[in-house]
Amino acid sequence: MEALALECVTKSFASDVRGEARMVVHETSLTVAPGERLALIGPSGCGKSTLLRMILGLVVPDTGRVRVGGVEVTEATARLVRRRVGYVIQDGGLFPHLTAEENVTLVARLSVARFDIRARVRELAALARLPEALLARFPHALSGGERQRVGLVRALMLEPELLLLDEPLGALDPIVRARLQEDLRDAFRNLGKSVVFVTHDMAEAAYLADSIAVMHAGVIVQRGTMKELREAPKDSFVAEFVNAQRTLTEALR
Amino acid sequence: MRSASCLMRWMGSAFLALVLAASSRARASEPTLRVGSKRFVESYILAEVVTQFARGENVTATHKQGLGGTAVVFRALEEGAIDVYPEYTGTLAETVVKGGAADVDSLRKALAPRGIAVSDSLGFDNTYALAMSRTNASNAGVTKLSELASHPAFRWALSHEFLGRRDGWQGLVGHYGLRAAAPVAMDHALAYEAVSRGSADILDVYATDAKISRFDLLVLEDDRRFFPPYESVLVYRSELPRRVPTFNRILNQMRNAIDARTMRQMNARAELDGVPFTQVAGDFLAERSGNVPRPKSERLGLASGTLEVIRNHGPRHLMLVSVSLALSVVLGLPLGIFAYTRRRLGVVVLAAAGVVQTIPSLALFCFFIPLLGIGPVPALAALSLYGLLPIVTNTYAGLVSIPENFREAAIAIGLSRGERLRYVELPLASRTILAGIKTSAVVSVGSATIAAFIGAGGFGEPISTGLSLNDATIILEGAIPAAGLSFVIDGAFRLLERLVVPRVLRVKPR
Repeated sequence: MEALALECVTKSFASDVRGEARMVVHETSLTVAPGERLALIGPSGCGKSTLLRMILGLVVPDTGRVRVGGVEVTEATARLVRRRVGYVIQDGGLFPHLTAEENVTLVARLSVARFDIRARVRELAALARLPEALLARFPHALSGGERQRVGLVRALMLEPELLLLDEPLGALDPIVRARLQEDLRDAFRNLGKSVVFVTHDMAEAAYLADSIAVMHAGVIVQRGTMKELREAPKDSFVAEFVNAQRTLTEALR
Repeated sequence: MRSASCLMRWMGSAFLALVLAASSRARASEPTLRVGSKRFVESYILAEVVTQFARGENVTATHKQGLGGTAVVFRALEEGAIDVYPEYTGTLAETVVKGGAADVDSLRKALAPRGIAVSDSLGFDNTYALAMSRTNASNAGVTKLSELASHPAFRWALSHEFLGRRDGWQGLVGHYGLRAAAPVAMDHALAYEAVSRGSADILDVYATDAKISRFDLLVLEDDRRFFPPYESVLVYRSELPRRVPTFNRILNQMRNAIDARTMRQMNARAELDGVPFTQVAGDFLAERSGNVPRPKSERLGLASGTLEVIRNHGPRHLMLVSVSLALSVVLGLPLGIFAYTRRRLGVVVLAAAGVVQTIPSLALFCFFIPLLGIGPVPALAALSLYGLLPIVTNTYAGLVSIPENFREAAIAIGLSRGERLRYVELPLASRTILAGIKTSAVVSVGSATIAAFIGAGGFGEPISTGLSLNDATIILEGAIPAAGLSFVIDGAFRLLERLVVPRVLRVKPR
């Protein structure tokens, strides 16, 4: 059974002043196998974040079905699904009035935890390479990269089957970003969980994911490995998008 | 979070202790004789005479000053909140018995079934009367109303009320054949000026108006008995003479003790010379018994008077503010949350709370009288309704202003509706909500002073007394502690904010 299956989902929003519907996701299907790491890539506004939010039931598709670990996401199951899915938001999405540790443990403390919360925090902090001393701090006293690591620990607290990351490294400077990419890759490998993350950085997608789904104007145009996308782009958009990333060697030439 | 709930519990018990202290205090100092008065000078003086007289007889007595108008004070008497107060037979006939005869015997019969007794006359009749300047009257040779018909040239300056009443001008015209006269309607105070300056000849007065002696007016005799009697009497609870046997002595001593002239002079001293009514009453009693005035009736200085007010009215005021605030919070917080979760219906809630706020506070207080009677209960209802708006709007505003990404993060990590409110949204909005509660508390301190007008007590009592006596010092004795309490509450909330609002939310958001 797939860890995640989106079946022909469609979503449109009434967006402009005339209330005309704008199609954001159009008859899109997507499956993620257990342990598979998928990067969802595409230009801004292509619908990739909406697709991710559909998985959590934050956006309800107009048509089509979303299943997480075999459970269809409906209004009734959404909360259950959310607790089985780890979600890392841009900039961590941490609550400003709670310390890093309180942020991380909030859901665990509210559910009947069958594990030692403290021990688990320590274990996950090590995995996310987050110094334990930082756990006592409030989010505003953490750097962007540190907040992202706290966000990762929070997402992993309840042993999710599926991990979703929405542009997790979008707002970080290159050094922090590179280090975090490395740490994320190690963490993903150690955990062996299914992962879907949204990015618009081709190199990051190639580095962290097994396969890449390129989205454009509400549909997934092509899905494959970096190599496949490079060598056999399905259309001119994919070709252009894949090649839009300049390499350092190219720049120095 | 834990410290917050701990604090709430602590506040709860502190509050309870306060209320208990206030009520036990009231019980412990329950006086033997409770004298009430209406909200005008003569009533204050008469009630004070009774109070000081009782004290002279070694009866513990308190004077509950200026409880309100006739309806309010009489109700207080019926309910046993007071034992006795000064009243007029005409008023009893008109507003209490409603249309019965105004003589003492008929009133006694009418009121006996209600457990209320009426004393003999105190000695004067404060009826409507007509007056003119003494010189003018003696020049024209007029002393009686029946003589006015032959003086059609007299200029009449009458109050609007007198002109409008059937037992006023309308009846008077036929009774005394005054058809030739053309009265001018005028403010009462201005009419006195007009008559004393000679630009009018006749005005309507109450027989014991202070200004009658001041402007040296002659009250014309109602020789054909047109005006209904407004004999001054004491009305008291029928069981009072049994409970306080000395009260019979007081009744005996007060019978025909004060004539109209004496009453007029006492009114003039209090109203026009600014002598405290306690002293006026004390001097009257001293003169009667040949004693020197007792120091008890001496006026306290502003500072000690204020302290006295804080001691006597502070607990009640604090009770009014804290109980109504607690009710406002208990009602307002859920309403604000409701407005936030059900935006469409919420608009209605917010609008309704806004409408309540536009009602003048005195009107809101009076609105509750037919429903809940007088005293602290309707006051608490009105105050808590009045304090609702800042709490509802701030709760709503605080919740609505939470950035979308926090709201969504809370949903995305799988918190239920209630958990989101309790652990994320309310803490994030706590600063705004607390500010709303503080506003409500401060507003309530002010509004509670108005509660005295419906007999709820508090710092409003000296303020309303001072207003009706036109005495700035008494007003200040109530206004200063009220203002002080506002400051104290402001400070208390600053402290509370440190304890309740998460530390990071107190620093200005960057």
